[in-house]
Amino acid sequence: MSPLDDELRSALHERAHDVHAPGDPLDGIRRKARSLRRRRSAGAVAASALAVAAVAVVVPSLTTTGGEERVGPQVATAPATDFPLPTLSPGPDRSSSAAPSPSTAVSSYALDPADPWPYRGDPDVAVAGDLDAYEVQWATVHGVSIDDVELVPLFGQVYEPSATPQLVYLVRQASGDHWWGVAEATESGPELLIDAPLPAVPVALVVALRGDEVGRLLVVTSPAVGTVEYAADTASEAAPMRRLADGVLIAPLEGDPTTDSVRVLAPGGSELLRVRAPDPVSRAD
Amino acid sequence: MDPQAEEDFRSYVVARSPALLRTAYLLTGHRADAEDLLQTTLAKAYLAWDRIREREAVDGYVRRVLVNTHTSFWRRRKVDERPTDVLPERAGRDDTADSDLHDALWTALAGLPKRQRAAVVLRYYEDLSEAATAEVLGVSVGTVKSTTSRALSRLRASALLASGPDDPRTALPFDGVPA
Repeated sequence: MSPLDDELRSALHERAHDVHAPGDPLDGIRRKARSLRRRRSAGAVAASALAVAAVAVVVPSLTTTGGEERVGPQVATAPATDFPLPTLSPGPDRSSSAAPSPSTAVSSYALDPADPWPYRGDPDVAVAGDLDAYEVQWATVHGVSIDDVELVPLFGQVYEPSATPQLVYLVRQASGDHWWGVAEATESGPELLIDAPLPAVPVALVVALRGDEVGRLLVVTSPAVGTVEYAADTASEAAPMRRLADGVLIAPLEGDPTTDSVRVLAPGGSELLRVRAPDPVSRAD
Repeated sequence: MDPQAEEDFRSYVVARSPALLRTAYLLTGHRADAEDLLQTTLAKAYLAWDRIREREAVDGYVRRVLVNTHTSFWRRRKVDERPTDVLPERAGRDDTADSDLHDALWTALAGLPKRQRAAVVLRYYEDLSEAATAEVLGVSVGTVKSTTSRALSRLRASALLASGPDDPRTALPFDGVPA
């Protein structure tokens, strides 16, 4: 031990010595806990409301044009066909001979928890300390040991109007269960806006976040996909979404939310996924 | 939460709040921020109380939440926080002969990145081992060593500036690793 070791210890203890806890902190703690619980409940409700979308986002497209074979597991048909889809312009190359086999095409773009998509977006949103906090929050909400949880960042951004960091994540558990979601950094700590089990073949994660003026549709998918299109309603033509990074796209939510849709295309133009855009969610303040 | 668990939590808060507040104060450097940080931390512990299976693990859990909440999300609130030559508020009066050196160390501590500051507080105030510090920070023991070493180099440089190179307390070899 060096003399400065002693001085440092002494300085820290001296500074801390006269810090005393205020009277009974329990009331304040309970109030804060109620506030945190309300926010988490809002996130859980939002996640529940998105259940269909959460399933839909991981389901390969089942609707094709021109009499092509439907692809993907049959169980996936419901989310893709329970709403009227807008007319979507065909991709540049829809011939089956030019595209890989449907099952291969879909699975090759799907999120593999063992080898996730690379992180894209703002590097400052995924720094170690923040990821630790998100991980602790996730483990706390789920009542599992932090040692059994690994949170993998997929995309991060700072929502400029409120300067709020937002993170799309994958959670790998020691149990083998995998989850995905969207977390937001708040002054009282991390909040999980969306938190849902990761289905079997997650081709794309589609998230609708409430904005200051209009909702924002965020799609996170493999960096190797081709175009991602959004159609506001059945009367609107699908248009490519704005690219934030390879495989990460955004668009303002417009039109009729019951009939809007998102379509993910492979580079060759074959349709990998078509789903309804989810309804916007936000943290309850 | 059932009444017994509620009582357990109350007892924990009563017993541990003073010490946790002191740690929070050393992490934040501000009394009000420390109280806010501690309240948020304990509220999270309150919500997780029924799920914390081993009561012996509560301290470790709470400490981890405290540090991680501070190192991550207080960054946004403190976006305008900068190292300064003006001393922040004092917890109490300092009438020891080491006042200048302690002041210099405290000022230098305020200028450290939050992870470095947390490592220093955990190692030198909480007297945690490197392994325990690594557990709290969620990093490897090697990272704790390097983080602490960098922090101490900066503190030592600041202390030297304050006390002068002839001061035997700071001029002696300093290996960056607490005993």
